Amino acid sequence: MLKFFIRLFKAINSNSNPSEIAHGISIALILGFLPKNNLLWYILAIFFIFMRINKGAFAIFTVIFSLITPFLDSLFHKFGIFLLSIPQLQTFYASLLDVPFICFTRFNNTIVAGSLASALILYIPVFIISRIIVSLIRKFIVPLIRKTKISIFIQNLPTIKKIGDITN
Amino acid sequence: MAKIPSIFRKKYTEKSLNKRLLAKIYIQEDSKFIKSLFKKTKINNKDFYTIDETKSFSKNEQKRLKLIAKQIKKQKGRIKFLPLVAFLSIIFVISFLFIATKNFALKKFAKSYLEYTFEAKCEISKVDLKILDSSLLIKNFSIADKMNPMKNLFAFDELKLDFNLAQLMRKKFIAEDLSIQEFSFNSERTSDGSLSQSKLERILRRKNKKLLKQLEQQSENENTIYAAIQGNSSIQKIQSSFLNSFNSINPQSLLEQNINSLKTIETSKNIQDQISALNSKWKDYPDEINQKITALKKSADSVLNFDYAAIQNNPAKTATALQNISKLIEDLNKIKTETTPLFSEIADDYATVTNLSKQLQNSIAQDKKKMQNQLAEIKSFSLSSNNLFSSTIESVGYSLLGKYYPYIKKGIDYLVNMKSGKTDVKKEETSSKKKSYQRLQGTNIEFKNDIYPSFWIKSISASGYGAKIVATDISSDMTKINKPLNIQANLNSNEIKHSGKITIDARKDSKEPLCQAHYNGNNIPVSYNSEQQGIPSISSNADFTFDMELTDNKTIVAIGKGNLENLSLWTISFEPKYASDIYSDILAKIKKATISLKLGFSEQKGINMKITSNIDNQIANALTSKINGELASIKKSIEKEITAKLTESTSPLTQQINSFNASYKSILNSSNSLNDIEKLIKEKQKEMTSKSNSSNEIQDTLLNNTNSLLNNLKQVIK
Repeated sequence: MLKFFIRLFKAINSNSNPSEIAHGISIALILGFLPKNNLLWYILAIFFIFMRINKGAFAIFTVIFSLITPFLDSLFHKFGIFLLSIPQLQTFYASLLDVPFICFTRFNNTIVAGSLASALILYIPVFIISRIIVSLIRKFIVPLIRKTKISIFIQNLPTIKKIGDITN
Repeated sequence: MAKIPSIFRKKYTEKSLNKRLLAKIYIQEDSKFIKSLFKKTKINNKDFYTIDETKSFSKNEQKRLKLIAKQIKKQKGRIKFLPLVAFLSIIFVISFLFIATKNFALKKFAKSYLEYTFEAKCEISKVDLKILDSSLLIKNFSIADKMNPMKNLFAFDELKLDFNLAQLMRKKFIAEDLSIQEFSFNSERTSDGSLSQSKLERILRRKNKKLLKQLEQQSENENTIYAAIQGNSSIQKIQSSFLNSFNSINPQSLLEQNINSLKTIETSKNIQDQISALNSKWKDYPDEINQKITALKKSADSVLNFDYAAIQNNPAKTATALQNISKLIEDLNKIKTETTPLFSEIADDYATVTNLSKQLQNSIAQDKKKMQNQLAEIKSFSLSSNNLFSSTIESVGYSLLGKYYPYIKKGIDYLVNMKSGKTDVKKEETSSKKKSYQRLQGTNIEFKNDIYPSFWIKSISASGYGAKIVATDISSDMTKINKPLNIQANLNSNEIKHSGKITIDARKDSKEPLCQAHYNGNNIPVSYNSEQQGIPSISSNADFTFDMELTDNKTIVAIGKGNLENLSLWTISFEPKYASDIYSDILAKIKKATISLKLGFSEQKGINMKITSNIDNQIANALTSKINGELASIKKSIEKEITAKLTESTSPLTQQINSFNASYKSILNSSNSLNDIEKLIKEKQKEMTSKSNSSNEIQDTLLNNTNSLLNNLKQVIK
């Protein structure tokens, strides 16, 4: 876990694309919200491995979102019921369920549907907010930190240098 | 120029500088720093931005530039195509391998599982599983019979199955159609179907553990009903009831019944020792005495054959002859002295033996009288059981039921549970929270009525072995599909026809019986070989019909009828033989029979089976009337037989008495012979003595008399 924190810290303090960090956080939102007992989570997880995103942000925020989702499950459940009960989509859902292997995604489960839909809806706002935060951090906080004596001292510590080398 | 990353050594236009470098630098300071390095230069009348070649960089600056260059290079497209393509290739290869080997793996698994189940070799020539087409094809399947390795337990040429893959993904086996072509049972194999020893041992070791658990779980109630079935299937009860009917007219039985009160036996015991002793005592005497008398006769012969006429004028020779006669008389007296006491003793013993013999004969006569009185009391004969034939079939029926009862019980329990809805229950997922940090389960929403139970084969057809079987709607939840299970089967083989229909309706709200079955069979060979005396063996061709109903409260009611044609009945002979002969004749004359069956089963009352037949009364009446018609002659022959048996039982004793009597007669004859010889010799002696000193006339007369005496004596000796 320390590795991921260092990666994120490095990413914020470096010229890595803030979109990478923001995408990492948004994708973490999807995987954090989705329950892990269905095929969809694993397909998405494997697909996201091949995306150029910040792994540190991805890992850390997946854990964070996973921790808060139990408190949001009742909302997901209600939202899922709403989505899965849309009359115009019933035939589509029914035909989808008849497709082999689709049933493993458990899309007809209220929690799965509600959490996935919620994550997709929140993806863009979270992305934008994350990007803005990263930019602001880089603009205001990073220079401040860089200039502080403590920061210089820590950066020059052999242990930190070594950790930096290992996690490069 | 000091060594700086290549991207900074290039020349850029303003646009490309902003796009390719500055836009990728997000730290302001770094952006300013890089901007400061690039100067505008004119090359070929165009404005370019480059870093001054002559500029020198400190080590830190070089490091920074290197880092910034690295960070810029890292910023590529969103998706890493190369690793993705590699991953997809791996997935493709795995899929390809799976598609290439799935049939082989499935075949191997099926063979292994079936060999474990049946403990014999399993052969499958082809397995073709098409996942996207949702079909399965198996060709040339056979499973050997472990009890008979050169035969197949079950085999078929082809099995086709069309299933629903989408439902299979949802853990439900739904098959549209299952067809089996050319199935067969007990067919011949070309190779040995037994497993290798090591494999068989492994399988048996695994199975032993499971069997022990099952035996422990068998319920007490099941054991009670099972034991009752086994008891009812005992043929011994029927046999003993039938044979006991003949006890009153069975000589052997009559004797055995009265064995303790027979005088003959008692008398025999009492006189046995005495007779034996007397017989042994006098056994050797006749020969001994005969030898002595024979020797005496020889001596008498020589004396009596002497020519006295030749010596009548020779007084010296006459005197010698007289001496010889005197010696003979001496020998005679000696023998008489020895034998006279014996003669008297044996006469006494003879009287004793005669008396004992009379006692024995009296006992025999008394016992005969007793038997005669007993026989006289028998006015008629009747069979104790009038349903021997149907009881035999009942017993066979019970033994069959006993064999299959555990399976019948399991089947009934399963059907009843299915109707009450206990078998195919899916656990409804609720949204109740378990613990605060665990997620809710959510609710699975079905978008159409779930009409699929966990198991459903819509149609099965099978043919082979002269049979055709069609079954529809075999499912684990008939309420869901709202259709009962129907099975129809026909089998025609060697003029034998079977046809049957079963309907199982386990729908919750159905008013129909849980199970209805109908069976019809024509020209079915029926064979039962009884190895019990009196119990008929049966061979026949029969037509049967059978109807059965099973209700929700686990009650079975069944009715059946059968016509037995070309009926052949026979039995092992029993005592009394004459009754056995009459019975066998009666059985041999019966060529047809009808039987009817009524069967009821419930868990509270157990099994009650009643089989009746039109020939039960026929047999009973024929046997009874035949025996009653010949009762008088039967009684006479019984009497004769009893007498013979009584006599036979006393024959050793009688032999001893006869032997003694023979000894007595022989000794008596010897005594009489001795007396005669004595008489003749004495007479002769007298005569010869009186005439020895007389004249020739007297000598002639003496000679003539002697000659005549000799002739008489010769005649006596002869």
